[in-house]
Amino acid sequence: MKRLYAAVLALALSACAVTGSVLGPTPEAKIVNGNNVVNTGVTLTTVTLRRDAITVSQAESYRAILKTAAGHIVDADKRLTACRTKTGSTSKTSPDPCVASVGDDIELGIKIASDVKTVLDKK
Amino acid sequence: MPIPILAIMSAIELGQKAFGVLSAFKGNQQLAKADAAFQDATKVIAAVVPLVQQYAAGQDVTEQDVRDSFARVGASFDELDALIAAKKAAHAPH
Repeated sequence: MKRLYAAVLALALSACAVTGSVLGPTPEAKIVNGNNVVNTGVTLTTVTLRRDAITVSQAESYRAILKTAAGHIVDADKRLTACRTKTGSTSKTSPDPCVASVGDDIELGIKIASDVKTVLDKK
Repeated sequence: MPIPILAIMSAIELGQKAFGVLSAFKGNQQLAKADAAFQDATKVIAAVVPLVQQYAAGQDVTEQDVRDSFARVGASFDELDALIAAKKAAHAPH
């Protein structure tokens, strides 16, 4: 079961990277992608705790880390929303004036969530 | 269909087959644990499905998709918090 989790999550996170590069993602797509990665990390923490493969204390630590990752995605979304409001643009506007608005936050959020996943894969 | 999506779909199908094997043991006493594992594995798969859907939808990610993704994260954190609270309660001194 652990190997199945690991395989699924590895594929999911790989798909995130590929999806981003192939789709030439809009800021909205990047945010959804980032949230999906964080969601996967939180889900993995939950199932790992339920199996008692980690302690409550460890789960709380991972939760805090994943909350940080989620916070980065929230920050990116706030800046994107502000940009959309200011420019009147949408995800279909070309060229998109808000591409840079999300900054590096989403990549940072994904990196943090991925680090948690790497640790939990070993449990 | 690009390889990554094929890989994900294969993984999901493999997972579903594994879950099918687990569910075939339903009724077996040992299966209380396996059933929980089945449910948990289903949750992990469910967390992956939006990635597949997003890819299938191409670049057509709407504002509602963004809100839905935040809602999913919130629900997952709620579930984790509930489990942590339950575990703490179970181990609290009486």
